[in-house]
Amino acid sequence: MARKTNIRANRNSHQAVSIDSHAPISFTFDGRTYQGCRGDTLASALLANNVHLTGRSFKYHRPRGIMAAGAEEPNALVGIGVGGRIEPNIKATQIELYDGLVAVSQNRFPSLKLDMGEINSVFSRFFPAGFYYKTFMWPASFWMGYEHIIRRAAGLGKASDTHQDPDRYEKRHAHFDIVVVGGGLAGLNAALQAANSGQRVLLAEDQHQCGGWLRSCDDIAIDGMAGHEWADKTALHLAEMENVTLLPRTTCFGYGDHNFLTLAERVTDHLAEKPAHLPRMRLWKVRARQVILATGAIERPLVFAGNDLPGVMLASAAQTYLNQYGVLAGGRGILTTNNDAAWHSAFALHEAGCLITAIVDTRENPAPAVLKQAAALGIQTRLGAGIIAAHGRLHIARVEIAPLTKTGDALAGEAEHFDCDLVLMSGGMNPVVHLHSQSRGKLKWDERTYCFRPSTSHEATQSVGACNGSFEPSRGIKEANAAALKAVKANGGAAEALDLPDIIARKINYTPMPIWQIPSGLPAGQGGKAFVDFQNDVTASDIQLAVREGYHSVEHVKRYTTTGMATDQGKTSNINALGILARERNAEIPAVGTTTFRMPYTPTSIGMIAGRDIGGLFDPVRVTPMDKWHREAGAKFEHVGQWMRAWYYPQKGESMEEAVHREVRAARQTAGLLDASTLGKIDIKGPDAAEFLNRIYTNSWLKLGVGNCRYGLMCKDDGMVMDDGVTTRLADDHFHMTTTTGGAAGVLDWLEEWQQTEWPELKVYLTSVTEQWAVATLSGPAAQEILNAAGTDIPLNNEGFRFMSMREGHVSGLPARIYRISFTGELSYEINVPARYGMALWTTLMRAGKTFGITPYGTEAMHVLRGEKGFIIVGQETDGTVTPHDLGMSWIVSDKKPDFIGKRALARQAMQASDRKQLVGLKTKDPKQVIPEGAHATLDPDQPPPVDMLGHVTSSYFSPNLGHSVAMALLRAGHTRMGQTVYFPMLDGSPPIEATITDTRFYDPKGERLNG
Amino acid sequence: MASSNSDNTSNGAPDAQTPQASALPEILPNPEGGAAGISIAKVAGRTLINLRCEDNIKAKLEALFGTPLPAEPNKVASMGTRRAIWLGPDETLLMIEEEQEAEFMLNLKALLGTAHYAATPVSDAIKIFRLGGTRRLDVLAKGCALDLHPASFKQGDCAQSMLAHAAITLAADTPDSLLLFCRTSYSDYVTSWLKDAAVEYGYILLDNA
Repeated sequence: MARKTNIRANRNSHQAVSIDSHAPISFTFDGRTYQGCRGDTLASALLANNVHLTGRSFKYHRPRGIMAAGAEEPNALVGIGVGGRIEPNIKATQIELYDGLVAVSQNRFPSLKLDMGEINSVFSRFFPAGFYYKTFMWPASFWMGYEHIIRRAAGLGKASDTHQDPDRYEKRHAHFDIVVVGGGLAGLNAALQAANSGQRVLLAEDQHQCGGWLRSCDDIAIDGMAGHEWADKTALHLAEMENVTLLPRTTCFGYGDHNFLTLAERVTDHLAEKPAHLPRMRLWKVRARQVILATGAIERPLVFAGNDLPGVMLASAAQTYLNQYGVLAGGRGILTTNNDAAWHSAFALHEAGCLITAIVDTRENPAPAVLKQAAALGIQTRLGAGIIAAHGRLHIARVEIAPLTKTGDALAGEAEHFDCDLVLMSGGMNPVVHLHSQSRGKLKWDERTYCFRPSTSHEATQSVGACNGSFEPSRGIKEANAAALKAVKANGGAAEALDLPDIIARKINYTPMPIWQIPSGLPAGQGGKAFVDFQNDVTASDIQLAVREGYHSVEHVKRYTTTGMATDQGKTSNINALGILARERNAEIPAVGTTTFRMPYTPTSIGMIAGRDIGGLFDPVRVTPMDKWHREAGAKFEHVGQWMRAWYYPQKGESMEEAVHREVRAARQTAGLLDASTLGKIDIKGPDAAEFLNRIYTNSWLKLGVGNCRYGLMCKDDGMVMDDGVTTRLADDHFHMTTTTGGAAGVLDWLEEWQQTEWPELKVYLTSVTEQWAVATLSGPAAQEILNAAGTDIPLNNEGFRFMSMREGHVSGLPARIYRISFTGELSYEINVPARYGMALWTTLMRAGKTFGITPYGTEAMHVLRGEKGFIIVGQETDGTVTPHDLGMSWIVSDKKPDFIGKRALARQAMQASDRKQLVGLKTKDPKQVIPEGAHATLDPDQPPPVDMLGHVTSSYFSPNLGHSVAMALLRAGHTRMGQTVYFPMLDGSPPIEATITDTRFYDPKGERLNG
Repeated sequence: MASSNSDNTSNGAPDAQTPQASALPEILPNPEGGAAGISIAKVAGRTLINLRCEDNIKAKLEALFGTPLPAEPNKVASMGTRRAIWLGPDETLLMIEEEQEAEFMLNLKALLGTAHYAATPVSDAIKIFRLGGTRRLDVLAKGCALDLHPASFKQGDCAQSMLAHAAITLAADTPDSLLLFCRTSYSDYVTSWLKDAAVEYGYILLDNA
């Protein structure tokens, strides 16, 4: 009997401590417009509008309403937002209302009140525990089909699949001396005491205001103020302190090792107009030296038939809706409980105008005080009794109340019927131990209050107040204060102990009767459904069935029935499920055990976890000093690691193939220019530098003359090729190493590791100079003329500047080192200049080479050019399983050196086996055919599967210079198969490609072109 | 024929535009009023030398550099515009005025002779930024896991870490500014990232500081 006409008239606004009843705002639910107040949650606003039916349940599509008032809500999951902001499965109890909010119910078709899926409810006998396991097990080949059906049935709401999320999400790191999670009575006290030390304190509160239960109850006075007034005042005081960060609307959802906490701050969700510069949410990644958990407690439901009907609500939730939001959840209510505390919720509602017609307590002897108060209010009581069934179609209408035996296992008399539109239920309290448990803290069963509470901690953390099972307010603040002092001290600080606030609170006995299911008087499986896990639609008889079928471990029962496995992680269901399991197994709850809680405490937006690592900031893009030139020339790019390298330079109207062929021809006929700046470069200096290289590379380095270059191959200690490159001796004790682009960082780490851990006696220093130098590789018959035309003081004639040597000087006035080395097989100069001159060098060479037909070429042409020569690329011809011998490069493996990395491994028998995969060349029968890279070779194209595979193609191109395709492959015993014919079956069903095994040197096998 | 080009693009070639080249302007006023939350200034005119040597060699350089090179981990030694930044037990990054580079290197060679050391110019490999503004630490906190609060990262401290996906070195240089060093090829990414991270505070890009 919430408000009927307007907000003011039907809210108990004098009590509504969390809303501004003068600030009406409108929102829609399932297309209908309603009014709420600023400060409302969607749930409180719906109740204020007498909307109780909020969704359909997951499995049976049963009508469901609002059961709780916080993060534990299992039923009222709705979709909110429009367009890209659509977000499904949000708890209505956690949505702060804003003007224009659009919300929709879920899991219903065609409408909430008339839902086709409800038929699942009629046929529910066929949906027992483990239904999917049993039904979709057999035959295995049908699984693919079953999966589609299950996937469609699974899940509740739908995310937008057509819109991009328009919101920004931020992430940030933060460090605090003391983190307090939860801003209720205990949390505020802990934060006050901690802040008094001057240490850096974070207080995170899930709601938009601090206070927790202080906002919902009306019987606690602190320092002469109402509880919520004290909470507001204290929060304000804390927020003004320099050393305190107070985050409202912030849920701590994860607690990991080394006091690492993750918090979700909802920055703009409550705003109708969302400022563009603010993120929607902010993920806080917090390192805390000390943590104080003050996360409160959640009321347990009672398990009885029909306990999921809209209008059946946790007693504390009804009191929250009354006192915080001024909403009466009904007009004619009944309380069913096993403890004293819930009586006070019923009294509060009764006094506010909801007629409580009966209080039903499973105990025979509640506290005299509550009996007296009930009598004074004229509320009749049923002691030693329970609600055995609740009835109604879309809302609670009637309950059956019956006396129970002393143990609560069976009925002890006839049932009476009571009409009602609200049932308050309370099965005791569950401390919110989730974060403690996430951080690997242990739990223990508390025999006083029949709940799990924290025992030993794994992290530097303390639990205080209700989350520690200390439900009495005075006890909670004492704990909070002591914990804060302990934390301050543990951090090496000192703080004066603050006077505890003067607190006046009702004395309540928080010991409930352990009763995990109210009997229905009917055999298991008959009568109405008694829900344990509301979100996953798991009933008490599902758990009983699981035990009968042999599932005894809590971990098995949980997975078989799915109890506790919904997105609420069983906040309201776990203890009842354990209790029923223990009863069925004739065991005690501690012996049955509990499950471990995992992050996130509440479902968390993926967008927030992605943060700003999206679009252009997803991964850094590294560009060379000549990047701008390539872009202006219209180059296409390819990613090489994080580098973006020019791939090819199409001219107007050219296809990729045409462009690459033009570039490849130019490099052999006139000259090509390649941006090779990304090559890894390492400066190696020290008296033992040559010896160091001698151990790193497979070949010999001691006698390399100053100014000379040598190609080297390095292996991992398993003898497999790791990287290659040309290294140059700059001075006796000084070398310049080059590595592959992708291998640069790994090679430097590798060298450092060997120097530091294995050969510390070698005097060598390593410095990365990859980015110090820009490199332009000028290659082709006209290379020398172009370099001369550009102007250089280095004599370029073959006698003065031999192949595999380096000269230092200038190019067009720029300080340069020119390495006469070649990856194309042509006369080639790798011109290195300090990176700032890279662009100047490039444009100078392009200008100087214009009349000679200089052509910029990209990485694709580079690949083809080296493919024509049979030069390997580490990572293309090798994959970590290939030795130098496999590559046909035994010439580079010294057998004279005492040792090098990989030497011992290469000497092992398996490394010398004749059937290892070895690198060979391939020439297709049809010269125009290019074998796809990765194609597998077989000797007999007609053999039935399984086909005997010889190996695969590693590189394959059409060579415009040769007029036929060239390919390399790693084939079993390839080196002994020269001249053999192999076949490459095609995936697309076209005829296998026929090729002959050849040497890998296709072009200029004698290397005569190196001298121009 | 143009269509064949676009076919090739869809064949894996990234756009010609550098993806991270952010559309964000050079200046973004503080959306909540007041000064921009962070200023991002490129530091030019400095030479960087990566020095690798043992402590006894470092000691020899005191007179040449003008102040003892830091022996304690993660500390910076300052002398006028010169900085010596501790990178490792045997690695220090020297920052000096560009016009002093040639003379400094000659003197260093003369001073150390045949001693075992490596002094490698890396000015072109590393970019230097000076970050100012009242929200500079909030911006950095979005990508750097270190505790940069002045109580923990004091003036004269330095550290090597990550800023989002880029390796960086940070130095708490003055009471109201930090130096940030990153590899040249990451400097576009770092700048774009900083600008984007500062959207809620406003930022200003400066040419030199």
